[in-house]
Parts: sequence; structure tokens; C-alpha cells
Amino acid sequence: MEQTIPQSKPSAIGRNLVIIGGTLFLVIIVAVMAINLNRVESVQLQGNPAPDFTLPLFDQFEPDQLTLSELRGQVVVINFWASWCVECYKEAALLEQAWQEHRDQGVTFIGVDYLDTDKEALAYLAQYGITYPSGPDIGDEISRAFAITGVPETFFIDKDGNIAHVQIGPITRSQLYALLDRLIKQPRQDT
Amino acid sequence: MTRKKLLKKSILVLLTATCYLLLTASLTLAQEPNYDRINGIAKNLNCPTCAGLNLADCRTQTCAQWRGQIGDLVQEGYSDQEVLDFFATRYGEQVLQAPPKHGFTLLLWVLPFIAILAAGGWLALAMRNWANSKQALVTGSAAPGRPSQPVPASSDSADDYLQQVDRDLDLNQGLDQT
Repeated sequence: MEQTIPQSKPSAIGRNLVIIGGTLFLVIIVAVMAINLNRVESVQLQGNPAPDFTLPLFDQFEPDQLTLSELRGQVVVINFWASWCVECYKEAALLEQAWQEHRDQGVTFIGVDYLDTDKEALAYLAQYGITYPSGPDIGDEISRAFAITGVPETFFIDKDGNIAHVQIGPITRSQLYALLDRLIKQPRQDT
Repeated sequence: MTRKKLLKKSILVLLTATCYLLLTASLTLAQEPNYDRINGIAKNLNCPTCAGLNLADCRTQTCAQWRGQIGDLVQEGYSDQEVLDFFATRYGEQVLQAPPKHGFTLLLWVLPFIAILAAGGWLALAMRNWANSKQALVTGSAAPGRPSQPVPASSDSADDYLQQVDRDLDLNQGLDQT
């Protein structure tokens, strides 16, 4: 009598599980890659409207908070800094000086404290005599909105609320004053 | 002053001094930060400026400042979880070593278990199939729902094989003699 060797048939359920699992894994990988490729860096924001934000200010400043959109019509210089940022020390005094010389010409400086502790931040402000409105970036919201890659980074906002220039790293006196002069002279377009 | 009175006064002074010293020591110890606890909390936080390092192992100035802040919060009476919540609110949830268990990040907690369960289910099915096919082979019948193929009867094939072995042995003996 003939004997037969049974052939094992691959499990349909097991095969389906492998296909589903593999597809899900590939989808996740592609999604992660897409998110990373779409990540914007701060310099790419140049020419675009500045993201609006409300910055709570340190206690020594009045008022308690400051909203960017309320400064429309002024030239705004937003400087991201931190007390542990060695490069920030190089421009701290210069920024304060420029603020003092241009505050009556429709220019506002804003300091956004990045990933810093309040105690050290206040000590930094005192050390460099910073008097322009400064406050901590709560929840890292503002830093992410401006897609900063580190500190110091300085954003120059024109009178129409657009990002006219992004400065990565410390700024020199000639660069700073040239930018301010240009933006002050530039008429407002959106009236 | 009698000796007894003098002895009593001395004991009183000694007790007072001891109490004062103990009180001072305990106050000092209370003000000393508990570095073990600070580092324990810091291990649950990421270094803000360096990738892949937790706050306890990081040696940058930033990390030292953040550990100092942990110490301040602990001294103010914050619990470990309250300290972590403070940092997450202040600096964003990305400072936490473990992703929060809500929103999209909840998936990161759930997916590994799903993957393990799925893998376990697949393995169980595979082993069941192997067991079924092996049993069918032993009993000489096909497992339910499985096709089979005809093969020659075992005694005929065994005879053919033995004959081939004999032929090969004879050939080898012939080669040895020469």
C-alpha cells in the first residue's frame, strides 16, 4: 500500500501576521523619515511672517508679559540666549547698547531665555545690565516655533512682522547696526 | 556650693550643650542636599544640550545648573514626581527620559507589548502546525486539510538502497586489492 508523506502547509494566520507587522514597521519608518525631512531650520524662516508668541517676562520687567503681534509696526529684535551659553557673552553688552541707542526709533529688543534656570538667568541679566524685556521660554514653545538650533540666535523682524534676517551665532557691531538702520528706514507695507 | 549642687549644675550644663549641638547638627544636615535623591531624579531627565545623556551623568555647566534647580525644588518640599512635572512644564516634555503616558507617546508604551503578543501568537501557531505535521508523518496519514504526495513503499526503497551499498562496497574492495 502506498504511504504518503503529508506536506506541511504554511499557516495562513502566521503569514498574515508577518505581512501586517512588516507593513506596519515600514509605515512607521517612512513616517519618521518624512517628519525629519520636513523639519524646518531657523534660517529657512527668513522672509516668512514671524510666529506670534506671548513671552512671560522676568519680575523686574513691566508688564508681566509681551506679545509679538502687539509690536507690529516696530522693528523687533528677538535674541535667544542662555546663561550657560559662552558665545552669548560676546554679544550681550552690544545688544544692550544697541537697544539703548535705538529704542526711541521704533525698535524693540526681546530676550528669550532658552533652557535656562531662573536663578542663573537673572544673574546673567544683572551681569550684563540687560534692560530690554526678557523672559523664560516656558515649555520650549517659542524656541520650537522659531526652529532654533542653538544659542545665540537673533531674529530681525521688520515693521510688517516678517523675519528679515536670522543671525546664527554672535552678531558683530557692524552687522547689527547696518541691519537696524536698514529696517528702521524700510517703510511699512501692510498699512 | 555643696558638691551635690555643683554636680547637678554640671549635668544641666552638659545636657543643655548636648541638646544645642544635636539641634545645630540636625539643622545643618537638613539643609544639606540629598545628592542621592537629586541624582535619582536627574536620571529621569535628559541633558538639555547633549544627545543621549541623562542629567545625572552629564558634566556640563547647564546640567550642573539643572541639578542645582532639582536640589532647590527638593528643599522646597517637591516630591520626585512634582520635580519631573515642573521640568516638563518649564522646558517641554522632551526633557523627560521616559515619554509621557498620554497622547501620541502612549503608543510607545503600548506597541512593545503588542509586538510581543503578536510574536508569541505567531510562534504558538507555528509550533502547533509543526506538531500537527510531525504527528501526521508518524501516523502515516495527512493532517486535516493538508495535501499529501505518493512515495514508493518503504521496503522496496530500503532493498534498493542496501543493494546499492553492497555494490559500492564490492567496488571499494576491488580497488583496495589493486
